[in-house]
Amino acid sequence: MLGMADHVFDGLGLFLKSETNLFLSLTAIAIAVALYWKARDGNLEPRIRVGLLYGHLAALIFPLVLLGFSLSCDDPNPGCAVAITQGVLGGIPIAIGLSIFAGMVIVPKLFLIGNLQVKGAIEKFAKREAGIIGIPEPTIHAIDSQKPVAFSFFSRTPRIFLSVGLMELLTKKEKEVVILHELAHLKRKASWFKVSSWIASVFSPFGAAGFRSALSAEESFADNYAVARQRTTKFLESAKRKV
Amino acid sequence: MDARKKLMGLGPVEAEILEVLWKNEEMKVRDIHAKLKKKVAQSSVAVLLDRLFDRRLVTRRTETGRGGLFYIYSASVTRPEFEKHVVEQTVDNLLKHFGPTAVNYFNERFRK
Repeated sequence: MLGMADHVFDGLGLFLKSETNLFLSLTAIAIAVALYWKARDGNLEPRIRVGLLYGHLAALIFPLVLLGFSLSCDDPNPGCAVAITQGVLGGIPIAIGLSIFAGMVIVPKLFLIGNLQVKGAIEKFAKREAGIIGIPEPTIHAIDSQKPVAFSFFSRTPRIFLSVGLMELLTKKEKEVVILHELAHLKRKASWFKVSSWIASVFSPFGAAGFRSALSAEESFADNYAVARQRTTKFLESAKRKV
Repeated sequence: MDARKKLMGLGPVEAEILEVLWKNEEMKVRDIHAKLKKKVAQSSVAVLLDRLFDRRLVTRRTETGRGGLFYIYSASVTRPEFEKHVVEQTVDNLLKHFGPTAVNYFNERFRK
């Protein structure tokens, strides 16, 4: 076992001795840092920031995948350290791909299971405001929970989720401010950015702290939009106090 | 009264919420909040009702109204059933932790 591990470390040593590999790896890391720095710019559209995030991850993973391909084994078999190392390194981009699929396709569908669609005044308000902000009419869904939560997803159709607890707790104007906030997120396709930020925070060593500030910038944007539409901060403030 | 509530494993507001529900069949969160003597925020009442729901002491169903959906709560156990459960749990715990000492005490107590 130790002999096999030594084989991997020897392979790593050879990899780092190669000028080409070293140059490519350091360039990739530099690109990753630059893309991370640019992705933190809160003034950019979320769609652009999502692209920068995935570019950052791709650049970060590139040296690892290059290392994996450079390792070789005289007697390759599933149990040998080289094969295991290649499997782990090659598995990282696959894991990222699966995370994206889960975050953007499976999780939204899970939220729809067993949840009621909300009709009435809230839905009419959301549809009217969606026309103003320039997005397709969203559907409003109730989450069976006493906890006051609200979020939105834009996969194929825009959807806003409000918990029963939130609908009980807030007044009509406070609910409207929540709807306006979520519509702002939907307009900017912020759910893509939130899922991508989470994935990047898991797989990137620049991780959680960097992307947390990016997420709070998105929240501020959505709050500002809601306040601008209502022309007062009163209902946003009272909703936040209650929640 | 506070000692009873402690034995029931309920906080003071939780106990009051259950008392309100035992007197009324079904109520909304807002109405329960209005009936409470202790001054707490409606959001706190909602949290406590959620905890009571998790403990299966209350049930709830959703209703559609003007502002969307809301919960209607009702007690899932009657007061006698709940008190019986508390007594059973307390005695079982005493027997589990103090075994023969608890048995002897019960024998002497009921002999009187």
